[in-house]
Amino acid sequence: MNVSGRVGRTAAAAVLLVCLSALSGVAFAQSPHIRSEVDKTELTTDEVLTLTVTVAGQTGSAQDHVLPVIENVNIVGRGSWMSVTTVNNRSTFERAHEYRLRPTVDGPLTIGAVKVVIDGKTYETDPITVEVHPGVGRPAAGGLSAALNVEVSTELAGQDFYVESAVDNLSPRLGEQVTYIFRFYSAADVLTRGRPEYDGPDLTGFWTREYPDQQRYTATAAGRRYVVDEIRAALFPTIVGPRTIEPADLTVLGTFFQPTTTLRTLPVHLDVQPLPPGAPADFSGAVGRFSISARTDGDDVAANDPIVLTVTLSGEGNIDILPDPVWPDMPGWRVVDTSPPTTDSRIESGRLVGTRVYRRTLVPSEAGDFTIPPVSFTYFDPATNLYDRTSSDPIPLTVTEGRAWASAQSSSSGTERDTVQRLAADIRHIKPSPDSLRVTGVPIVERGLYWAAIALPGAVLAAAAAWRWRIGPFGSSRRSRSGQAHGRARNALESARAAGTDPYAAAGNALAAYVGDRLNQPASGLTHEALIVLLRSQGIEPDLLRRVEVCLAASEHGRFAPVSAGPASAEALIEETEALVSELESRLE
Amino acid sequence: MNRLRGTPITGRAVVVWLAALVLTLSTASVARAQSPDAAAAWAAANDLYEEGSFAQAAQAYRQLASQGYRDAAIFYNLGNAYYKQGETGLAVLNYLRAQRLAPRDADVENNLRMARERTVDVTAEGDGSGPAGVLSAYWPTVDELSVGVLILWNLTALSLAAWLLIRARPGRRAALYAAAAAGVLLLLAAASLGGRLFLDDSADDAVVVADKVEVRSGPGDGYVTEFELHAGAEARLIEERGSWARVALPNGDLQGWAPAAAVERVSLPRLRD
Repeated sequence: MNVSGRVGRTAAAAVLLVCLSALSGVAFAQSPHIRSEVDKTELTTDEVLTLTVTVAGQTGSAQDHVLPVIENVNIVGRGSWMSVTTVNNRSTFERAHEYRLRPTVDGPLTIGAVKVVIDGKTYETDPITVEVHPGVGRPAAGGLSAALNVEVSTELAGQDFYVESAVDNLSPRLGEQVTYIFRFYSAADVLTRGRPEYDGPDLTGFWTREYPDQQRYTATAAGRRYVVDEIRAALFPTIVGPRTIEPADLTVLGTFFQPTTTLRTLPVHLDVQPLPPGAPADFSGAVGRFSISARTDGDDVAANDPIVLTVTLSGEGNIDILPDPVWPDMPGWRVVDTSPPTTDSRIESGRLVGTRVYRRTLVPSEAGDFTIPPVSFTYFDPATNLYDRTSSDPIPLTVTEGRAWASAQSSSSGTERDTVQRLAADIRHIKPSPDSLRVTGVPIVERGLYWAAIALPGAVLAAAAAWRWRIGPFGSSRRSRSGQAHGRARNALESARAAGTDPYAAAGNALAAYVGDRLNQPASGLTHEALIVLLRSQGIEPDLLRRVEVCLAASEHGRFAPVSAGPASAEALIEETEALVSELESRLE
Repeated sequence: MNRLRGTPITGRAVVVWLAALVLTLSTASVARAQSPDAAAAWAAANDLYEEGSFAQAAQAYRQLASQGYRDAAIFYNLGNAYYKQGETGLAVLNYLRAQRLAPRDADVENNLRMARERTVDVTAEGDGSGPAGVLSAYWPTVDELSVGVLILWNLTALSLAAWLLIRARPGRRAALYAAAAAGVLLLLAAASLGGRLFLDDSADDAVVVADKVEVRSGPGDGYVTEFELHAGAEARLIEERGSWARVALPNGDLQGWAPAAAVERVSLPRLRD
């Protein structure tokens, strides 16, 4: 059940395919045209040959075609297409049948005449012969079950669902690829719901690479037709000795008529063989078949200038984890940069193949003609069961004179530059003591002085706000003007007295300015009559109003008839004005 | 200051204000007293360390710390002395204390990391790599934030006062913008200070200083041992009851009671001003 068998190499020879197209009683009005052709005349047993049989004629004609028996070939795929063309109400068709054939032995391969029966008449193509060369020695792969020559399980005897697992090699060498196959057989006449859930086995002890695509094909067993889904993985054993690949599970979701089913494969037992003794000293574990090449990014380089050496390993095997090749000694050259290798791997014909590229930046220190020695790589080839070595070609290089200072610097120091490596780790050293040490107690924020410092700008801000309130705009300009009226009048009178300016004018102006400021009226337009009316409106008694009128009149008289007014009168007028301002101030409070 | 015509604040007053601010900052941030003797004791402790007498050096550093010299370098050196003795728990404890006083000191961070690498227990965020650890390590200290708040408050008040007192319209506008900017920064700084004070007051970080401690389901030897912690493990101290302390791992999944002597709180008791 779990191990695939082999299909006889001549199994494909029994393939006889008859394809029927639409039937019609209408005969060809003109003779049909048939041909068969292949896409190559030479190939290896690892390659696939495409055979195309083309039939062209008038639509409505009946046609059968018969593929001949082809020895030593597996049919790994097929397909067909048809085109119809109508001209002047007459339709013609061209139908092509394509077969993908994988030869199983080398030598001449002959594909006999393909027969096509059209309306009872048989037409034949010419036979084709191609040359088949040996491949890499592997069984041909890529054709689903044919790839590993597996047979439909003998345990499959009419069940609705069936799973099995297998490997293509039960006793691989350490590091040799083993292909693990999981197959799910689902009877074509049984309905399933959704995608089955695959729970793969634990593959501890193997480096694993899954195939990118899941394969699907049909098979017949016990007279029942099955759809087969295949999941494959490339395994590379990493441990010598008996290994068991545990069962894989597959859960098929149930339907109304059928419950959910979990299927389990049997375990697969392998015996991983060690690599044979006698490995070369430079062998570091690579298993497969590889080739190596090397190149530089130029044929010449100046001394102390870098040049990149690119080494490419390509072939079949576990390319993703290949060890480094053996780098040759190159006296007089410095390796200034070693990039991690880049790998490009893929599954091809059932094998893991690809390339692994190493890049090293080299710097020559002297001018002259040099040769980069071959870079070698040793591996074990499981196909031949031998250790083998591949080497690149030597690369001649011309190193021209470079920058003198760099060369001189390099030679004078006598040492090669390298990245500083930490040899050991220890804690950083203690800190020195200060000249004096401070006792730090509670945090700053908990000290009174701090809050005093916080309060100081607050107090200043409050004072500024209060002052602003007094002079406006928060407060009233009228209010401030009124508040300062008395002081201004007194200051004006005092100034007039001290400076000896016109005392009559000063008295009249001071009195008018006082009333204007105090009652928030423009002093410039304030006539004596208006002033008296204003004061009267404020409830000033008539006696005081009379005194104000007399004062204002004396002021005018003194200003315009100063001869009749002596110094004593001027002083008396200023005193009377001061008294009036004081009395008005008290009345206007 | 020429624009402050007719105001009670003159250029001389502003100078006095700034002088008072500088004086306040300098006096508020410094010690009650400076002691050359303490510095000499520190130097002597360093000499002991250099001689390899790590235990004596640790004792000297401890004595300085107990006298109120809360300098990050003292706790750093003390952590070094413990580290050299293999006292991982006490080393981690004192590096954490140093980090609280000097959150951005690269030496402290480096040695704390190395001490943590010596610890046995892996606890979520217990290595200081969690958000709380990073916040605690890089957030400015209370004193730094206090000074920042004071300066920003002075700038805000000065700008507002200028806005009140200046009569010229362009000057008033500039003062208002300055006050707004300083005010926003002041709010941020004040919020940070509040957060830091809250964090410090509620800080219950502790470190296991014993080589191994059995954490039990209750405060007594008769309770079941639920898990074990080893030297240097960082935990939260939830409660102290007699000679037992209730601790929880940073992720809160595991908690229990351990002998109080086996764990030590990272925060230090406050000194009187």
